Amino acid sequence: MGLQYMKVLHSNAERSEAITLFPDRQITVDILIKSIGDQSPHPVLSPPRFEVLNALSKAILKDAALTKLAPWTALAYWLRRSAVTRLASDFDKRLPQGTIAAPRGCAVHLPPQNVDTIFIYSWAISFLMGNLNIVRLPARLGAHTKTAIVHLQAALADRGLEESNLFVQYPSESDVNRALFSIADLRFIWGGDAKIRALSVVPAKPNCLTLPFSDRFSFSILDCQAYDRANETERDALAASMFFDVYQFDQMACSSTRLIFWLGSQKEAAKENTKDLSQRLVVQAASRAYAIAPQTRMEKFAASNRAAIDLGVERVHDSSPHVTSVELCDLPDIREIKPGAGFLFFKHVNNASEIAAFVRRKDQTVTHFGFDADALKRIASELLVSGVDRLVPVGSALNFDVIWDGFDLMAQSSRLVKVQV
Amino acid sequence: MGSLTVQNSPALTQFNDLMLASQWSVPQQDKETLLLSGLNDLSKHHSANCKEYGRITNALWDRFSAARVEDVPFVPVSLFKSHRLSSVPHEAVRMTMTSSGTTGSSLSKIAIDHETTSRQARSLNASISAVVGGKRPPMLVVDSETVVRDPKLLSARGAGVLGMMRFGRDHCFLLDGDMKFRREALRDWVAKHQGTPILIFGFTFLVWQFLYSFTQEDKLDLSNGVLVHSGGWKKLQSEAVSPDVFRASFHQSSGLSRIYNFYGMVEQMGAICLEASDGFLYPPNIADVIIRDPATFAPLAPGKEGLIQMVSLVPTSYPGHSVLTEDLGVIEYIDRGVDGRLGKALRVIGRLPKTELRGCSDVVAASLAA
Repeated sequence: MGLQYMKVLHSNAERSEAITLFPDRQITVDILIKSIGDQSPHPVLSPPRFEVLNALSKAILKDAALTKLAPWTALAYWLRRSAVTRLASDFDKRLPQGTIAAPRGCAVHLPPQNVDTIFIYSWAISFLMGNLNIVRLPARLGAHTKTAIVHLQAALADRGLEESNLFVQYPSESDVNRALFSIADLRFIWGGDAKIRALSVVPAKPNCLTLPFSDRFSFSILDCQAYDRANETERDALAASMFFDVYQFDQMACSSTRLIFWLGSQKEAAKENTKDLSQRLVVQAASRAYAIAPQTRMEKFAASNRAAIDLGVERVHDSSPHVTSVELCDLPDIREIKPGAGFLFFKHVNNASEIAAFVRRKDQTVTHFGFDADALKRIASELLVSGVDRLVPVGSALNFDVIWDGFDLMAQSSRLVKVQV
Repeated sequence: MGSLTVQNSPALTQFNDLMLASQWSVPQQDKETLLLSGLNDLSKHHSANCKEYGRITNALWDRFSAARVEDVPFVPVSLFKSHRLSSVPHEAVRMTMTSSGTTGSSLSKIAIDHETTSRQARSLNASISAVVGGKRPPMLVVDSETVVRDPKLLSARGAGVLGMMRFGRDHCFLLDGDMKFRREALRDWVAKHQGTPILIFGFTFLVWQFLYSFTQEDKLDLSNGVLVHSGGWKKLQSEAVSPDVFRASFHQSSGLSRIYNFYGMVEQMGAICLEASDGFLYPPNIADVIIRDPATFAPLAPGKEGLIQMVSLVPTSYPGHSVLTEDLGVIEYIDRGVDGRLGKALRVIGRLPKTELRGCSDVVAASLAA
């Protein structure tokens, strides 16, 4: 008891620590907490919220610097009024009978330092559900991200909502997290296992719900025969989609494809297909001028050498700086091997149960190619017992969705109020 | 010296042939012919006797009988940090050398047998005696004796010091176990050897930090000395000390003008690239450098900057005969004949710069605990 009391005192004493309110206003934690405390949440899915998101979408689409980059364009489309309206009506349909959704209160978002659009998705969903939001921005912000936040703050200010949505920066070693958690009803912790472990021990408000986004692994299942049948144009289209899944965020996002299964009975065909698809990915990477840092290239080469020693490898194709393809004989746990930037494992399997035996709870996204709805459902039902949170077509791995990591983020950002007549 | 070497030891014939010529006297073309044949022997030997290396050549390389030196399979230098690779039976390993490396705290672990030790010593001897002379002069070591105390497990620094100590006598260590200056001992030693040629060896940053300041304060006359140093300029560059400043400063403070830098690594002991009067570094007869494009790994022509690959006929006990380093360099010219030296003239640029990839997982997570 005494110790806990001391901790409270300690956290109070630290509350004069400085926070930067984006872009450059210095305030103390105390002032921030007081000012957000003066605000109140709004009803879920209220019209001004759609307007803010739509305005942000428009601003991004008008900004040539941002629309050059796929992640920002994708975000802008995701925020459009029509898209958000669909999200809202889908959410309404999911609501249990006799309930009304209400905001949770104050949400604290701790997005990853290195994936620049995530914090906007995280914020947008919580915002839509009527919550107050404090978003900790990455320590180093790229020019594009800064531009996007300026658009975002302008859209909020137009509706008088800027005081209830704060975008802040503060040093990681400070005690600000502790102070913010003390007023949080909801906290989003992105950024992997180590960060979650470090932060989830920091006490929060007793009723606070924590959504942890841990380290994940993602792979792809391609139908071997479908690839055999595909013509040049179809194969190129698949490679273009696969390129997006693999190289967006340097293959270091949770949803980035890192292993490709060829499902089918023809092992030799699978080998041919590995070569063919790898070659097409090389063409994609080269034509899009994907830049690879020398250190990363070296790390890929080193990883393929280590894999040859440790894993039971049939063949490594490493002739291009862009694509290193490692053909596995067996199926060891390769989840921790991630040099990034185009390092792909390939494995031929005869049936989905071989994949199911490999699946762990850590696995997040499965992209697929060449399966009809029935085949896909059969595969999904085999895999999902052990893990896997989403199955989407090749090319959609990084498309953000309100159903993420097994959470319904809209539902988690709100609470259910039972209304009985 | 090679009396104990096994007759059928791989690449021994080519090694001996190259050692017959005086150091740096073999024209590039002739050198490559002998190196190629020796390197192919070594690839075969290591594939057969080191199962890890065999797996690598199987998975990554179409053939290990190369038609050109540039086609000889190469392994990344970091592999010696993640794996202990040996091509000889456990009981044949005489010692394991270690080095701190580029990737944090991991160490290279190099298994050395008698044959490899012998080749290291023979090649190193040919290089150092070429600049020091045949007789073993009194030697000043700019380091502490503690780094050579346990020869069973040597650090890169210790291995370097121990390897060099054979070229001098009456060794004086400049530093004590706490890396403190042994001022009195040094004064006595210098007085004792006044007027005779002396050999000085140390790592570049230690030589600068300790010996240079001493020559300044004590007006030491080292004009009879030969300084051999190694270990990179990174720490000195932050103090804005270039190779030229380094040379000029010593010359001015103590008259020391015979200064030889060399490029070497624990994974390539015996194959040091030693500086000539043009300031460039020359690989010994039994080794060579290849510069590769950092992205495609294609071999590059002289004048083009890229990754340094070292090939050497020294390592028989571990598969290090062809190693791609993480250092950047450039071949300035070939067979120019500066100081009578033939072959490739290397300039080392520095380490490959570190990069940070994007991703969902925060690297600095541990420090986030509030």
